[in-house]
Amino acid sequence: MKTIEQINEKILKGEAVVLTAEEVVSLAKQEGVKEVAKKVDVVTTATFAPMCSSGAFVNFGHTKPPMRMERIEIEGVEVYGGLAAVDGYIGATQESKQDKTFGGAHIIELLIRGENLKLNAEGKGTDCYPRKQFEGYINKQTINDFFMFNPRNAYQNYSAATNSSDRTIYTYMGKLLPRFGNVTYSTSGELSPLLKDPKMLTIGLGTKIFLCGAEGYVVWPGTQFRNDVKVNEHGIPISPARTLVVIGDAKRMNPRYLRAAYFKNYGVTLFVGIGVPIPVLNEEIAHFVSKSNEEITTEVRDYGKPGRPVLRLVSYAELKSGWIEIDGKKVKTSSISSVAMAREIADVLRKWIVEGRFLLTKPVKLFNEDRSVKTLEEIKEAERFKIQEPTCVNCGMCVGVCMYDALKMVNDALKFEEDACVRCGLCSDVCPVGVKLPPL
Amino acid sequence: MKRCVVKFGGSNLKSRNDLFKILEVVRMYRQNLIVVVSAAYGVTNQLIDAVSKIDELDVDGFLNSLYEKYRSLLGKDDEELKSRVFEIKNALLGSKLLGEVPLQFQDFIVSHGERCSSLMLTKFFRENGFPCEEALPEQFGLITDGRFGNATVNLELSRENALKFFKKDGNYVVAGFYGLHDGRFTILGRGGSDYTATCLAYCLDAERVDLYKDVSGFMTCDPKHVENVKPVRHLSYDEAAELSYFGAKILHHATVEPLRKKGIPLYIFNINQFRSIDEPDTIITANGSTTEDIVKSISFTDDIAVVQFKGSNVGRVPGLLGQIASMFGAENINIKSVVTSQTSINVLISRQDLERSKKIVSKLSIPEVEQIDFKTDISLIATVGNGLLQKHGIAAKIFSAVSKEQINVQMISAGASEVTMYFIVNITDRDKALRAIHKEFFGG
Repeated sequence: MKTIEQINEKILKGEAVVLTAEEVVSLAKQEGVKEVAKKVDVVTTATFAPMCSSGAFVNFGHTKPPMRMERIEIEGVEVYGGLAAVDGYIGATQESKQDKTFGGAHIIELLIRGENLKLNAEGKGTDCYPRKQFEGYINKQTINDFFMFNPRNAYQNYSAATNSSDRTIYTYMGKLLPRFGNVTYSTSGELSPLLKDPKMLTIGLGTKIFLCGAEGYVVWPGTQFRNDVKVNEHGIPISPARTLVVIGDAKRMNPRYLRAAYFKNYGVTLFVGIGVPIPVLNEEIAHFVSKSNEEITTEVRDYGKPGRPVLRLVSYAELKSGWIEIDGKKVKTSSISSVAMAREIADVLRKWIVEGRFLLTKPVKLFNEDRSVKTLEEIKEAERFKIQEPTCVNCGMCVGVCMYDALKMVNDALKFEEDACVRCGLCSDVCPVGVKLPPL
Repeated sequence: MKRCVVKFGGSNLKSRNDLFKILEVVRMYRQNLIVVVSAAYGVTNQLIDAVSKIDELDVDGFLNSLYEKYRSLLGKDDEELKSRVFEIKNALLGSKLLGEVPLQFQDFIVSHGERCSSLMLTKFFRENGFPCEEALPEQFGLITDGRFGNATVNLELSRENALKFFKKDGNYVVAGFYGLHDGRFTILGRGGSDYTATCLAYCLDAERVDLYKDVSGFMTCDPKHVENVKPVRHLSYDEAAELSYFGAKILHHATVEPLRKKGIPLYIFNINQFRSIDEPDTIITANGSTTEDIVKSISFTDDIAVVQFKGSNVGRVPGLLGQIASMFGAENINIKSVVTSQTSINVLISRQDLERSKKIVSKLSIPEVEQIDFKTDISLIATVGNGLLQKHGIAAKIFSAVSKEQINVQMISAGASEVTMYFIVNITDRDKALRAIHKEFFGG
């Protein structure tokens, strides 16, 4: 039994034993899990794969005169502007109006590369934000804040894809040739972060990670996080399960560890490089980090049929061999994620730790509550919401406009002096929550 | 979002520069507006003159000069505006042939300034980036009781029509001052555009009505007659109605009535000292407010005459007042007030009704009435304020102030309205009395 504090002390003294996930698999094969638990302090895991559910927040800085940007585009790619003033969210899959192969992912990558990009923004103009239009170039030095915030990254497992139909189909799993022409798969297998800590015993809220070359953090269970899935005999989920929300300072990221991408006839996406250190605190964790591609399995799904039925289970070792058998047919396999890049990230993270530049964090909270994933039912009839009569929140906005002192704050609560009120109505358009004034 | 009704009077339409002031004001609202507009400054009087001197009227010359006035406001020639101005040409020519203007033409002609204003202002707004539509009372159906010269709006019928006509979003420019009855134009009396504005506010459930004037709302007294007058910040509907009824010219006498039914506040602004739409000069609302000195404003009217029915027993004869009243009513003469005693029944009427009243009463044969006198050259002074009848000593203050000036008070009435006390003095004493009371309540 070790603690994260003890491991951090060893890291600082230069005594910590840090191995990449692939190295620990070899060690376990030679010396067994018990030795891993004894000898190894940290295992670095990584993935470098297309992760559509990614994006970045930008604060452009205020214009002169200031404006409230409501419709924002960078190089023709819409940036979500339904946030205050000059904040925007660049969604990775947002496509350019002019070129569907170019999108939000490219904007993020180009900004991280330090390129100048054309920003166009419009707003309706208000008294406090009078400016209505902006056009000009920005880059990562000129903008105020720029941080990546990805709602669903690092899927714990992802099904391999194939296609039984008679036509080629284009998917987020790539081009799938007809009649089981090929199989694609996404996860980096035994290097993959959540496959090496499948129960998320060490990864939780506040876990410090490698995110696209910079420090990042795990901040929430990712969207579609589920832990009610089947596991194989080694306790590893065999289908898509847990995910992560991650955050990190995009200004510090290294463009080598992310890449904009276009999947033909599907759309734009972003390769995200994530590395997660797993502290080997006990034998259970040592057991999981030692699992090899032979022991990690996933489903092969048929994207050529509605409901994408599961055709078989397959291990990552088989997938990585270059072909698997489906219906007695030998089918070529290919990865859509880069194991080479994942390996590099795991090694970079290992170095950071060994050199004492990267300490481990203890999660503030583990994501061990039961979670399942809902599908969106098409409910055509439902009881419509009722607009509630607004109630006073005692903010006091109305007090300042009442010329007759009928509205006052007494002990920070609104007091209405009915006798003083002349029903002039001047208070009626200031209530931010829409209470009808004067109170009757 | 609820709409606002705003009204600009003729004094706001003197020069092209005034239009830019109006534009600046309407842009501040940021919500849908119904803009009610009067005739350009002086135009209604010119139209009344034209009607009264139809024999001598050079119709084309007159209409050309009218067009010139609107053309100079708009700042350029406009064929549509020109044909609008000339729409009354046939009515004028026809009347000229007849040698007099028939009653139903009179109101059509006199209200023409408003129709020219609304088209001119619509065009001006649009050219300056304020989108709007023109809405004429004959289009949206402002229905009146049909009384020529001084009609009352039928609010319910007008409401049904207006709700169908006005779209929820969008700005409208409305010609004020008149409505229709059976397809005939009937004006709402002088200053009737205020009334148009409040009627529309009623019909469309507006949030408020803002009247733009060239004076600072209600004052403690008419500044032409008394020095050191102060603005009156707040009045109840009752107070405003009484002040208008008794001579305050700032508001058409019927203006507040439609608002009373829905509790819609009325704001009065001086466009020349306009600060913001949240800082009106006078606010008129449902609730009364009582000031320390009770009296809020003093108004007067010289348009008053008293018909005095004398007889040793007139006060005791049942039905006598009714006979007198129905006689006046039959002739469409409005009785402003009645003060009675054992030996005298005093009927207050408008001075312009005096000659007709003389004719009526000459036919009267009531044995108890021994003598009928007519008092003219008098002035009615009204003091208005919430709480007037509740607080001790207000009457004493008023009358001791007047008596110090050795002014003879001819008649007094209090209690007819909760907020008003009025009395009659000789017209030559009027200003002295006004000054004395004003000094008493508002200081020198």
